[in-house]
Amino acid sequence: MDFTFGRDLASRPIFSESFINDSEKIFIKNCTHLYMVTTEERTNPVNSHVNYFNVTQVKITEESENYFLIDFNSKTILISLVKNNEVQNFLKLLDHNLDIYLDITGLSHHVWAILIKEALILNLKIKVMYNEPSTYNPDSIKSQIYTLSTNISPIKPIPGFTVLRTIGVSNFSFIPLLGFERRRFELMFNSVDPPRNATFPIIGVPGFQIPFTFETYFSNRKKLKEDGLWRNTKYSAANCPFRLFYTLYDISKEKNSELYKIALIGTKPHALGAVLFYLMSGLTIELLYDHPTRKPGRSSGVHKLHVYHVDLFKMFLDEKKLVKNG
Amino acid sequence: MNEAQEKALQLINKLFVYKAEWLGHDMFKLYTQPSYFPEITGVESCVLIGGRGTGKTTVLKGLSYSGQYIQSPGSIENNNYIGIYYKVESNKMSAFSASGKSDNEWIKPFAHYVNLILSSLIADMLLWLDENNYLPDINFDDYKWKIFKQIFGSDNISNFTNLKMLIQGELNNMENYINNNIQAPYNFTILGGPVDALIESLASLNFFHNKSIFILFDEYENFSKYQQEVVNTLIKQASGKKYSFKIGVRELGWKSRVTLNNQELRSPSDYRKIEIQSEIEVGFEKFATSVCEGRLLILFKELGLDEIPAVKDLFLSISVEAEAEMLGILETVNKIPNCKKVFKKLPSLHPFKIWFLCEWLKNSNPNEIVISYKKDQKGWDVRYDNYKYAMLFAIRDRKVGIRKFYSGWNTLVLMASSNIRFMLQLVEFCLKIHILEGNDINEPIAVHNQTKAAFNVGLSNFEELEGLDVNGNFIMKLLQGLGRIFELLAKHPIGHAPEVNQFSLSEGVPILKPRRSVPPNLKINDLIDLSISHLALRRSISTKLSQNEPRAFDYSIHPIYSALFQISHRRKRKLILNLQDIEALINNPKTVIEKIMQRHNRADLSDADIDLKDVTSGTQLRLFD
Repeated sequence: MDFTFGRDLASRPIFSESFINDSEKIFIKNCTHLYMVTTEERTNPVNSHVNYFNVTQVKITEESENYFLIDFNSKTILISLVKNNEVQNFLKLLDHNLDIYLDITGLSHHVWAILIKEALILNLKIKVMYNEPSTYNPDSIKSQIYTLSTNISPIKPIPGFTVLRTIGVSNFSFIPLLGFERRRFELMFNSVDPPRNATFPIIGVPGFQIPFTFETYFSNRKKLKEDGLWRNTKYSAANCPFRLFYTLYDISKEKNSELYKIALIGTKPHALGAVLFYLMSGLTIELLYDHPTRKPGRSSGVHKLHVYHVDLFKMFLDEKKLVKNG
Repeated sequence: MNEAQEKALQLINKLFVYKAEWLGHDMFKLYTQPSYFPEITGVESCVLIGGRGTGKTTVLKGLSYSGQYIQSPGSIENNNYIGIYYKVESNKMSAFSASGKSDNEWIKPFAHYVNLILSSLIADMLLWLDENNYLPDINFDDYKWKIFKQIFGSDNISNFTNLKMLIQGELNNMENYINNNIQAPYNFTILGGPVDALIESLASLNFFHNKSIFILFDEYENFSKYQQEVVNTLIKQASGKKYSFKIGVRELGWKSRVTLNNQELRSPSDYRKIEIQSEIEVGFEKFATSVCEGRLLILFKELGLDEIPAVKDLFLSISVEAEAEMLGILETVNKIPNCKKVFKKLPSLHPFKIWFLCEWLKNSNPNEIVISYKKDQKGWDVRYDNYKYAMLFAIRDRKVGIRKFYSGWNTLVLMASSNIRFMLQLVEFCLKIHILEGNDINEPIAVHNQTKAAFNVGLSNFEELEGLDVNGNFIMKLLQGLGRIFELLAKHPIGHAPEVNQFSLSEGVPILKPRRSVPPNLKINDLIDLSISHLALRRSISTKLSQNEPRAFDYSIHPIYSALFQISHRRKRKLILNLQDIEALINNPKTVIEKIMQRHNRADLSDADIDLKDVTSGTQLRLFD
């Protein structure tokens, strides 16, 4: 690890701004805004309470396993996800004097993660936006079962985040970032077959909304109880990637492992925190992802908007590294 | 719960852990060698085929150098083999797929990665051997190292740490290639090249004289089809060399048996095939007894008990008649006027036999029943013997709670069906329930407690299916539908073939035309294979083939689920289903079950009978939530 953090809040700054829909208006100006609209209400900038001034809107119009399409300067451009130079070349087209606001609400992990990775490599001023939904829609009104994905795929690395250098490591920790979908947790768990005493499930506390924490516990209770995993459960605010980063840091201090396998099956801000941890911790991290197909109409409304200043966070960590290395 | 009971429960949790991965080094303390062990230690390559829980991982880890060392440090030097273990990681292997490349285009990068995996594992082993002073005569200047050094273009190998770092550097390069640009040119090594060179370099060392290196690949099913063909090629090439492969693979998980040149791997010339199920089926009772008694011995000792009962005495069994009594046959006989009258006239007969006679001759009056019995007593005795077990399932037809008991060591062994993990689960649950009910650990375990345990083991495994595979929810639906069919057939045995609990597949006319393919990207044949692979179903070579049965297999629900669905745990008679029926069973279970019942002359069943109940909820038998 290239840095250490104290336990006090001052040693662990949070580089986020959060806005509640309708109660506050926020203004974003002089920047590039990247986003994608899906069937979810919260992904459409029209439904957001942001006022944009002098903003270059770059719409991602399509995502697939290996590429994404963008509308840029009245042209549609195909960008390969398996050639980092294409992602970098696209980012180089953007005005580097301006902030880049990447809205990950409607984007799949395999698209936004590599954009962030390459933007940080290029030292761009990248901010990440995320809209919480007002609610997730259960399978029926009385149900506590949430099928948020119509299809789950076998685990496969996110492009740009493959780890091949760890062969037959048995001294690893498994850190599932839990969400509502029991099946995804169970599939991950059975696929990884982790040592039980080195498994640290993370639950979003506080959740986006108060009941969500309980829904997460309820949905995953079988595995948590069956294998005694609840004893190792950790908590981290569901909507904060930076807190998640610090939680992962704490786990790595608690359990010194050769490798940390983090399963991205919870909230997007948690996934973002894990991606940042992969990129910046200096530890060997494997991100596990099952590439779900999101169910249309899985959420309703727009609740809070968050802006995560990941560029500033990187600067903060770089400074800490400098201090540590003299 | 008193202190002793709490201690017993804690010990049971510790001793009856049934996954090799969770036991860590303790696995070898509780290790019992399976009967096929001598076969796998031969120099030729082996493929161990068996479902989860059949002990593949334990056996393979036992062959690895770390496993050998834990079991007996001296064996490292004395054995004529040394093993390197690798569990195939699906997250890494899946990186070598799609991403705009065809399987053919992936062969070279993947073959290179396999070379690096094996080189890395061998380097780890060498480092360990060196640290433990097994390799005093190592000489990196020996000409034999030249080829290996050339392959990776490095002359700087002067110790094992250098070697490891060199390979690690190559792994980092490979990772960058995958992450950054898989279209870029790359200098891949040829399949097996570095491994051959590395192992050749070791040949002159004393330690490796007369010693084979076993490459132990566990969870071979995690390789895709083309990836298996790459490794199959290595297996073929290994013949006559200083190393061989020992493969652990789930049933039906070996997707391709050919090499990259399309040559088939043949047993026994290229490898020895060990099908665990059939290898240990004959001696499984003995093996299971040895494994469980070993654990019980520790449990009883730790609890300060000197006398350890034999498992057959601990797990009580009962006769069919005694079971009928426990299921309330006397009450049933007394409630049915005809039965009551017949019983008065034939008081020496067991009430279960009386009920059987009355059910069989349902439309006759008591006098006719008694006359019929007296006229052909022998014939009725034979019929009763044939049907009495099947009739147990009908006694408590619509009643809630236990409708059939599953008890006795032999029954539990049959339910485990040569699967040691299931066996351990059954024993664990039996012991826990026994203690939670306030019994002393050395008292025999009551029949109803064994039944509760069997039900809960079935339930636990049923609920786990969803998390075993991305199509696990469809496996569950299939199992639940089939379970309901066989349960209904079991509940209504009179006048029909008893104990129908298998099916064969025909290509006849489907009962219902399927509404849609389920799921869209999964063929129903593949779903059946997946169900076998995950031990929801069992497959055996068909005994009775006819023109209408083109498939040479019989299928049955795995007997570990027999208490859950309240069906017979014994493999008996079969019905014929076709693939479309099975597809409809997933989409539209109620209708297809109704049709199947009609076809099997159970048309009088009510809607409530047919309804697909949720086996996972609302049952009095459920212990844990």
